[in-house]
Amino acid sequence: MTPYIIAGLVTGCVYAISALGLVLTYTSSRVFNFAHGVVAWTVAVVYYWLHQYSHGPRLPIPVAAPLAILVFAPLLGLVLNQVLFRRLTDATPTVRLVSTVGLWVALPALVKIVFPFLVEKEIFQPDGLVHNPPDPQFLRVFGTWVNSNQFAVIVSAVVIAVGATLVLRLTPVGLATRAAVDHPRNAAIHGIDTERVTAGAWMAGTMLAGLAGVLFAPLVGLQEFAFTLLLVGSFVAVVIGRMSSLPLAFVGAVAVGILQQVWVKFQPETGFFSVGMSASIPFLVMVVFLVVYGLRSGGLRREAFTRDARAAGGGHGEVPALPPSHGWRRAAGPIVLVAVLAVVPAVFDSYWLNIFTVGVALGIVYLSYTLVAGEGGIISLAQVTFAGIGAFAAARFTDVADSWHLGVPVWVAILLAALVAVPFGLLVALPSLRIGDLYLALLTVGFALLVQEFVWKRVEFENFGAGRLLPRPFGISLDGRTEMYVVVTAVFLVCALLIVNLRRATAGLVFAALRSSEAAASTTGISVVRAKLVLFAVSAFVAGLGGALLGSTIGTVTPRSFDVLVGVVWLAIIVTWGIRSVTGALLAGILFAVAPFKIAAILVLSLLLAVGGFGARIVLSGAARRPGGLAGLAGLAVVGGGLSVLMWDRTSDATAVHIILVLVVLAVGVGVAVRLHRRGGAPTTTLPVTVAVGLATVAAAAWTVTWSLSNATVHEVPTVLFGLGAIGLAREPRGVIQDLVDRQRLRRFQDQERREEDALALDAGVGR
Amino acid sequence: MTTPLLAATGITVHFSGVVALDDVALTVPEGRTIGLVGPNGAGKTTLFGVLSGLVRPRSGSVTLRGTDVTRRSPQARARLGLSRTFQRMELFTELTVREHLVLAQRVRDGRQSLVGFARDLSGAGERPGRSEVATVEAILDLLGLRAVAERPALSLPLGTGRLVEVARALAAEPSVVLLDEPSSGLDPHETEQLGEALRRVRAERGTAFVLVEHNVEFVLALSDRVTVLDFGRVLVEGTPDDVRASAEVQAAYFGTAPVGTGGETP
Repeated sequence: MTPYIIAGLVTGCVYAISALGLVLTYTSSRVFNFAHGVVAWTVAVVYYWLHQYSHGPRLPIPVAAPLAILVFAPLLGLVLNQVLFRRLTDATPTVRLVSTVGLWVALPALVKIVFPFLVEKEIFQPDGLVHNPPDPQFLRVFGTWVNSNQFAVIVSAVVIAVGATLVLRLTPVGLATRAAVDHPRNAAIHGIDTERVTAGAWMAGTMLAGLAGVLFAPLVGLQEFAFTLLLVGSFVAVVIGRMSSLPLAFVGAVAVGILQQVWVKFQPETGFFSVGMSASIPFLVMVVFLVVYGLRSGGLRREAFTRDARAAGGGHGEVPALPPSHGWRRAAGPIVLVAVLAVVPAVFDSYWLNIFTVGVALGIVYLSYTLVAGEGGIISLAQVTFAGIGAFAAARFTDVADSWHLGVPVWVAILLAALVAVPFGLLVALPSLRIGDLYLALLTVGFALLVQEFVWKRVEFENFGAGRLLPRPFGISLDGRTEMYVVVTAVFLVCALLIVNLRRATAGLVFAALRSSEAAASTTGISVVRAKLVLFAVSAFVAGLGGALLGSTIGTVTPRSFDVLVGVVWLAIIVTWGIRSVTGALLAGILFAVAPFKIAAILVLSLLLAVGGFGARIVLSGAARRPGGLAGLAGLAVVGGGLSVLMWDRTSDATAVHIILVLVVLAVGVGVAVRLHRRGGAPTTTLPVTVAVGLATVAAAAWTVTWSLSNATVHEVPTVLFGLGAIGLAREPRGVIQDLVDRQRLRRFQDQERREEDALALDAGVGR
Repeated sequence: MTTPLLAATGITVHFSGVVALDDVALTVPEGRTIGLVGPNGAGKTTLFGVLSGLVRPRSGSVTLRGTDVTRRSPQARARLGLSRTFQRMELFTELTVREHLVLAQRVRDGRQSLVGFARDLSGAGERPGRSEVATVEAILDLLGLRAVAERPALSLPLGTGRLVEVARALAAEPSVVLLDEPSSGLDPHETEQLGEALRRVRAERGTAFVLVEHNVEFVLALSDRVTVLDFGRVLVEGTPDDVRASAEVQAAYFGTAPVGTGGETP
């Protein structure tokens, strides 16, 4: 028994250290960091690179540990605060959530590019903070040996718990922090620099995350996915502490850790509970606490998260909102969409068509995000699970050897499987009636991980790693690529049409009302409960349908395709391309499907989109009517077309990544130059600067070409782009293309207003 | 005596130990305007919360048209003809002014059923067109919102936003409207227009109002009866003239200047 309790105590203490960092940063900045786990992982990677990697600096522990935990981690926290978190304090809760999810996607990919050794998987057994190698018989407690790493964890946790209490209770810094946490505006009035307090909290929080990461690595290894467990362990602790109480979070974390390990001791050899139970305990505890807190008077709805949104929502009269566009501009999108979809089978060979089919199937899954996040304004990370439920249910319904076999045609099985996802959607939605958006997001992560650990690790589903077979509907063979493309595309178009219909009618108004103010919606007579349940049910159905069609297109269904981390990347990419746009869902699906195969193809697509986007800007701005604008448009088309053809020929991924990097550098350079040129009124003064920027850009592009690329770079570049896209576009629910168009329209709008004002002023002057 | 339209009796609300409302009663007869005044923190907004169903009272009961609605949801009360505005504006930021009214109107007509949802899905659902029913147009004119009808709420100035709140509440064609400081942020002209609009609605439709205001003259001029709250208790209840004359109200609202200090004389 004792060894299990000690092991649990150790796990719990790591959760606790990490959770303290999470609570600290959340309470001081109101930004809940979903990237906390990968921040911990990043610091751990830096530490083990400094200390253990055979081709690294191989610094001794007393040098490497302070360097990673006390120097690198706070710096990372400071940088993240300056470039990201600081800007999120005034954002809506959804934007804050999505931005940190974007960081969750981008940061690990970036780390893998910077530290290619991770791909070599050289460090099997990380050292920890004490011994090299760890001493298994460091200390004897109640007749059980405690190894040196376990000892280090417990000592660190005690030191940090005592230290945090002392600092927060007894020092002026602690007083300032508590004041700033309780009421930022009042604290600011009384001379406390809340920005500095927040920056300090992020530095300290990242340091705690880093320490937890370094300590956690010896327990689970240095793989990124293992750190999801750390993240969820801290989530549970934070939920127990209701997002604010440090002592409760600490005790909760330790309790969860011990519970987890003690279960290992008593778990049955066979039967239902013999698989995946230990890993599921954190999620189960989280659900229990969410339900208990939610049922108590007032629930968790009015926690700081919701209250804060109100304070941030006071944008009245400041944002010049655009009137909706009318006429051909509204119809242009769908027409282009259908035309492009119709042309695809004629242009691409069957290999590519198959990939596109997968992409369109993913697009159907992404439409479920369009519903739940775009229309409902709810961030759900469980959509991937609904998709998985649909896929696995369809596979088992159609397998003759399975106990779930139904003996119906495949397409009926797929529809039924999508229906199976609906009750699970309702199950996840039910607590949302009593708990706020942030807790709901946590609950969806918990649910997704629970299904992943407790259900999909079972042999009926993972089938010894091979997955389950799922045939194509209507007897389409694996060679019949065009038929499958037509089927999937038709389903996508029908789903997209239904969503567009919904959005334009009364339901669209109801959802828009819910996104803004649930209180006003309910006193206007809208049933918030029913609207949310309907939304979750429909979105679960769409996700299940998409998942089943995805599996059916590929032919097999594996748990790996529906991993929680995959779902996180899905969310990031759908945000980039427009969470409220059905076209965005399709583009996101196709890009995600194409990404692993040929980055070159992504480049071609992005280039086409970029050229198209710039072209649209020129057309919309009216510059096309001027000779210069027309020449520019023609030049753009020629250059874009030429580059696309060129890149299509170069199939090597390394070359492709080179080209994308060069293009990014050039685009940034051109953007800076254009902006400089516009800002300075007199061209004579800004011309030299513009030329200088241009030259520097070309030089940087030339240098990029000569930069040697590793395997990791080639594969992680798209993921970084997806993550950064989500961070950058979290505020623009209609995605990158709409963002470009809107900016252009906004500028015209403002120009027009200014001109009218000038004319008025002129009239007044004349009149006088 | 007939049953009052809206009545609250013995309402008590505690917020983590603090007594926000203590045994408060309020009666709103059909077609009348009740003023509710009191200093900040007196419990006016909390009482509105209880009446509209957003705040659960510890004890007491609320009846609407003779039905006990104490345990009913806000939307159920809205369907029974109760609507309200908010002190801190709760507009649907992405919707245009017209869409606010259309939505309130449609919800009132019960077009939020599953059948309606299916119809919306199929594309047969109605779009918020420019020619929505006459009520919407009438309300736009009544409150002078026609010029901004197609603008999203987020882009409106504060004063206009207040008027949209009132318009949304009226668009549901309620029998009683709770107005939480509708004139704060309005300029004198807009306040005048609002008062005029409320009088017209009352005269034309017989709508009852409960009015929370800091602009005491505005309340006293509009109300048939006035309730004065202080520290969660009813201080005075009576006609505007009673309230104007009450020494207790003077004390609660303006503070009692000790005689002879001359603190209040210019």
